[in-house]
Amino acid sequence: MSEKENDLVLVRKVQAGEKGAFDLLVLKYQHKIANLVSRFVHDHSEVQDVTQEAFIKAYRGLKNFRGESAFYTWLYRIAINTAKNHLASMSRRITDGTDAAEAEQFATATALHDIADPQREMMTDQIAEVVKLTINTLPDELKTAITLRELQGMSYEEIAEVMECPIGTVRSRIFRARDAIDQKLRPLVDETAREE
Amino acid sequence: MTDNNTPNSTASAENSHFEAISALVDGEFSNDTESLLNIAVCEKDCKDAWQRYHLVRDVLQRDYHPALGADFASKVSQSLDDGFDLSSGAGSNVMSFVDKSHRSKARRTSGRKPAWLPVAGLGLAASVAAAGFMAWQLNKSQAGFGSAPVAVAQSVSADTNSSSDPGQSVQVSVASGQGVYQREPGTRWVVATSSQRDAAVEQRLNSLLLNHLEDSTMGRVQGMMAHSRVVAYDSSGPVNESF
Repeated sequence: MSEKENDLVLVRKVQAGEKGAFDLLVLKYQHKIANLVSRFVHDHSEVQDVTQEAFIKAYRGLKNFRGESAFYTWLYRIAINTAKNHLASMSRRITDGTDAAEAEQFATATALHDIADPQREMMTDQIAEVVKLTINTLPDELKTAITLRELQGMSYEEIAEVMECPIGTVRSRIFRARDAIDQKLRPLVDETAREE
Repeated sequence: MTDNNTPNSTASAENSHFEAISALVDGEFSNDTESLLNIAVCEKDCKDAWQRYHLVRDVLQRDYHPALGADFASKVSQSLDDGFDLSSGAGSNVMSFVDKSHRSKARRTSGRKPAWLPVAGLGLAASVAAAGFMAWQLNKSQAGFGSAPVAVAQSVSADTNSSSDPGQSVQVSVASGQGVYQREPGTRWVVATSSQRDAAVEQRLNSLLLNHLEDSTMGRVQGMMAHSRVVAYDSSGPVNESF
């Protein structure tokens, strides 16, 4: 079953009232949606809120989702609209304000967030660096399998062909590589979350 | 003979479970996907594995965003349980400076909100509907002259999906004579008899109604105006106006 089909199964479960299935969809798409939202909303403190709002809108709209398009394209559309509406409401609030001091304070706050951004960028780069180093320390067969899967987007069948091994072996290698990366990644992500 | 209760066999069983989740993340689990998804929904260990493997992917594909905490999904779930108010917009967790200033400003001005405002909105909507009706009457009398411009006046409910209100009709004058357009329980308008069909009118009514629905929901139009629309339509030229 492809990823798209898995999404559809989860969507059907949510539509049948199984709210836990929506958690899996959130866990799957949360960072992709946050990344998308951050292209519109530059204030990091608001990215989480807008992302959360997008998921809540998606949950409420799921009863009308008929599966004519892929779930993620539908979700992306909701996220883009939510981010745009957020920007529009923010600009309305700023222009509605008559107090010049308030506007000035807002500008300062925004500037401060902009200064804080490189630090977060650095953290992301640091995480990426650790993952890269971890991959480099993996045995060759695990490194190749995870690289072909995650960076080249190949299917298990294609990887099996390239690596000249059974699909079951590919599956096991990818799992072991993921597990090794996860061991290194977890403390870093937890640290980032604590700093937030 | 192996003992399934030994720590090694337990770990191995757990690993095989996680390996299946890893394959599921890739959309490459070929056995009983639905059952495995059920397990992932219900069992914490499996759900955690699902989260971790997606996180690894997000980091590798540079989709990871540090603004989200590890408990983001549970926050979303909690908000859904609490009945998150969408009209309040973003800001359930972080109250930004603008939110604070806006709310304090709203508190300061809320006492001064004029009481006649809702009544004025209702009055305005009623006048718009009356004007629409008059325009329709006027054009009904003009329709007999054949070459006179066709005008359509309508007042519709924004909730076109309401199944409790099927087949609402509105009389219109079209170039070929008098017709009755019936509103279906969606956004489609069709002419009652095929002899009276005017494709241009039908198409414009459809597009105007759709535009209105999108405008009123996206623009968050307040008051009665969100639910009403008056349209003037001239079949002799490309111009059509609405307000």
